[in-house]
Amino acid sequence: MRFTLKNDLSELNRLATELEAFGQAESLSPQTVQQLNLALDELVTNTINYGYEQPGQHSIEVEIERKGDVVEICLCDNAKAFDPFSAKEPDIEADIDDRPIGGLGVFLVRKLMDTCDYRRKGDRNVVQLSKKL
Amino acid sequence: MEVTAQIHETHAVLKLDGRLDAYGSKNLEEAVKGLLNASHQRLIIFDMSGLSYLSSAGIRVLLATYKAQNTVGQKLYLAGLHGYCEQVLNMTGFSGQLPTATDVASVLQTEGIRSPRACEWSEPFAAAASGGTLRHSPWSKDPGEIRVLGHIEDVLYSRVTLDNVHSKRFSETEYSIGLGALGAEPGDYMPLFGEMITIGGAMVWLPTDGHDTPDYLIPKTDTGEVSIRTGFNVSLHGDFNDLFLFESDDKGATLAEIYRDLFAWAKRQRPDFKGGLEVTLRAEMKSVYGSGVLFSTIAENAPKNGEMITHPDNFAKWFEIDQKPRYKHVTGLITGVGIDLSSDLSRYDSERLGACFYINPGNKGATDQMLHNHGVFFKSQPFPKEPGNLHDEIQQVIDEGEFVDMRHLLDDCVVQRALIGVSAIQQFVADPEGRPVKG
Repeated sequence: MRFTLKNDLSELNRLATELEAFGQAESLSPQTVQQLNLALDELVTNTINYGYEQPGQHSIEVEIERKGDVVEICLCDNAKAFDPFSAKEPDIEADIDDRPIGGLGVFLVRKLMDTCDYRRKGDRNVVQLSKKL
Repeated sequence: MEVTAQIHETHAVLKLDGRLDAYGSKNLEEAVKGLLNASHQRLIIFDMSGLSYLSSAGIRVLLATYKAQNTVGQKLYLAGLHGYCEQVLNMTGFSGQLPTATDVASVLQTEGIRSPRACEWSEPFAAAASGGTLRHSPWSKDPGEIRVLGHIEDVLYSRVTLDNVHSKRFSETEYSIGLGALGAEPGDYMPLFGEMITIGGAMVWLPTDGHDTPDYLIPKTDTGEVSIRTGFNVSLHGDFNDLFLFESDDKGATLAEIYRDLFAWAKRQRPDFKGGLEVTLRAEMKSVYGSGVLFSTIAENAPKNGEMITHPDNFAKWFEIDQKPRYKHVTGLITGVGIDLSSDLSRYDSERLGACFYINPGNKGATDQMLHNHGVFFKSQPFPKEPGNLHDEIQQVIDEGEFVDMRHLLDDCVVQRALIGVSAIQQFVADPEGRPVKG
């Protein structure tokens, strides 16, 4: 299944609706759907909030497919080049008063997915994720 | 995501429903900003029982709120966190670090804001005047004090001017009656002054604009800093000393009869009784008789004959007096003050005492006591099965009841059943919290 999101945070609601439909079609558990949703949400939110130097409308393409017991996702956008998986992992053991606000999103994506890959293809960021069911 | 705020003096509950993602967290950020910018800081509780989704953007707001609260020495609690959202918080390592609780009620108990105080009800005893039965439970040792702003005479002579109008904030614990209005400019509120009550965090008043339609305000969605304009206000300071559970047969009993029984009880049982009681009821009303001023009692409206508005020549024009019940079988929240005229009232400051009472020609023939009560009415709500904390019972009616009306009450309103809070008034004092609107 394939769909396109605009660079507006209100699109997160549509992301959730699309993924629910996908989960239903592929008979995934609600928990899996929520996990896929969270991982995609975190990446899409980063792109919308920090990815675009030019204002105006941009689109983010999402492709999601079930292959046997694996769900494969491809996320594609024309935002500025950024490898989300290059960032240092936050220290989640640290005391709450010392923890910076932020840096958690990509950490969650890594926790929820089995593989996370990034590549720059021309003027596009391509993120590939997979999750074993 | 929907954020519903309930703002109290000591704490604020933000109920979060739906999805707390980067989009939903904007709503929450706004609500929190409003709280943090208020004139005083309070405990914040996020009620997350209705939350179905949480992302790192949401956690960011939780953490930012926690830190902001910390810097002002206040706390943030996450209440009712469950299922998926709890797992997300676990994954990020925050679950052990942000204070959590199973629900809002348990936070209020932990923090000592709402005590789970149970009543210790006595066996029912017969109440002579009302013909019903009463059960008693002790409640608080807080000495009751009546705080008075303005003077009833200024109302009775219709001579309220900007010089004696005050602004007054109110909180959920405020029980007060008087003459009031809402509005920013004198031109908005002066011509509309009407009967007013504040109870359970709601302010209800009857603007004298000729429409006879009350204005019902629960300032829960702002920061609880609404100012009432008032030319005359009487409020209870302190908690109830005693709780009573009043029950009667079909016939019911009048407010006057119930007060009589309460005076009789206080004379026997309370050595600190000086003749005055503050009485608040959550009542099942058999019938409501109201009376109210029809015009704002400002100097411009003063009767031409120079007499009081209760004078026989002015009365019919100024007052509406119910001859028939205005409502039957409604739930009432009533608060007021009463004095027993057979007691030695010289122990009170006579001027302040005199500022609270007047002879309403609509009340016929009572020579043993004087009462002044206002009430707000709702479509009949089920009476609590195990009546307990009156403050909470009142809050529940405010939260769930379907509002009907408010009135200044005549003494012959009929009550069938009621949970009653009574304070033995120790003194009548000037209200230190009112601010003159002028200067």
